[in-house]
Amino acid sequence: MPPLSQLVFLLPLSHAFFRFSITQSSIVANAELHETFKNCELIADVKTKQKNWRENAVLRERSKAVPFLGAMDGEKRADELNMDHIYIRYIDFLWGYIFIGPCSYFLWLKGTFILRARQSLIKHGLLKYKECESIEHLVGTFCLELSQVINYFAKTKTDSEIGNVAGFFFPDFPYVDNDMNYKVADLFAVDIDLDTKKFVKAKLDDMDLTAMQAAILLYFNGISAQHVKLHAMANWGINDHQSLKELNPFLRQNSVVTAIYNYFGYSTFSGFLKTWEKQGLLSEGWSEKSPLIKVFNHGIRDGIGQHGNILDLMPHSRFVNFIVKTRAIFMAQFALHKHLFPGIDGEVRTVP
Amino acid sequence: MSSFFADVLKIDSFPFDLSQVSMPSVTTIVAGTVTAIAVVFATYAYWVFTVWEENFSGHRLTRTSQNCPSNKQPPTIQRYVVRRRATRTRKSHIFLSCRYIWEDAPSLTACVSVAVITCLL
Repeated sequence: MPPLSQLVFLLPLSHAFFRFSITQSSIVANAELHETFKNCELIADVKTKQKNWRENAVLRERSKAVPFLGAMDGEKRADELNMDHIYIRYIDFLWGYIFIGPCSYFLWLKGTFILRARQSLIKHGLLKYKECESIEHLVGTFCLELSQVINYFAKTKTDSEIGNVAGFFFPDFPYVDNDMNYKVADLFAVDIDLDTKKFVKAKLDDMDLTAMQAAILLYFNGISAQHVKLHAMANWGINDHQSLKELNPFLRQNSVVTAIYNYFGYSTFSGFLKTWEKQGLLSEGWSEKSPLIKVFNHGIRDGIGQHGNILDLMPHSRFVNFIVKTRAIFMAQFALHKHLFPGIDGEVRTVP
Repeated sequence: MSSFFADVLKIDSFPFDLSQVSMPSVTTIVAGTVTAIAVVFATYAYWVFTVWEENFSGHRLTRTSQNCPSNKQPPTIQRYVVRRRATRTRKSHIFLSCRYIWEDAPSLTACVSVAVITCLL
């Protein structure tokens, strides 16, 4: 019988493995729905992929929040992520509408004005589209150097005929079709050559995609379903309680900013779509059918999957290399100072 | 230069001599400006209040409240995938024979082990 200390360490391990295998089964099951994935070597690798990291109980303990007036108390977990739900006092809300709202408004006003000006100049032949040097490389960058990296699942074996290729799998992938309808594909898969860091191939259910199509889908996913997860996760990393005015006023102020930005991003953002449609920046239908908010909700509901296997990509991704190395340092520092950050989970601040 | 402005102020197109118009005092200008700003600010603050009342007051909870969605620990992946998997399985019989779907369900041995360990702790 192993000592109790070892058993305590084993518990999160078995729990984590359960979650990893579920992700694995989701990818495999969704792939089986479509003929295009039948001969996919990476799907075969997904089937045999073994969890290659260990849960770090010390790191987990360091990131654990200091309970605050009933918040983050106990081991119970929330059912799902939620982006926009935190109450803010009127005086803080007004402060946000004076110091944040107008600045954000003028930022998007400036951005959309430049977009329209560029469109107009191109239309009149006074400006040319800046050609992308390599779409294949751009897709590689989307997958390896942005938060999309958490969708990495497996790579080919060392002696593989197709080379050193990594597979990024998005089971139940939300997108918007040409008629502005919210759709969900069973599986979106992108293969990236890790030596050249370029796109190899991509599939969306039964369709083979070009690099450009894959880039569009990855970009859209990055700014919609993927992006909102981080905003939602941030709600577990803020505390705007009055008592923090004395303990950590900067944290409190930033917490108000985060909560207001989440409100702007989720609740008020849809209101801008009609204007952008009128300005010709968006196709008709985005405001009427609200596919964007449906994609947002899909991303939030799905949450963030376990992605410990991104350790495989450390030699190939500057982003992963940086996050993995700094995470341990960050947690050590967080553990030292977390009494100044009550009710805040350290882990949510390091999710890519 | 001052004579130039004096000439300009006395041009014939004006029906009166502008130089003779009495200027309001600095206090009046300041008071007027402050009042105007205060009115604009109060209107803006009232509009913000209506937005806040509509979206926040009585609609949301602070994190310290037990029913707030972020009151407990952050969610794990486990629950939503299990739910999604169950939905998908109902949707298509193809998954009934898929070992990747079912093999990850915790075995009886695993459940008993966890229960024993929990009791020991």
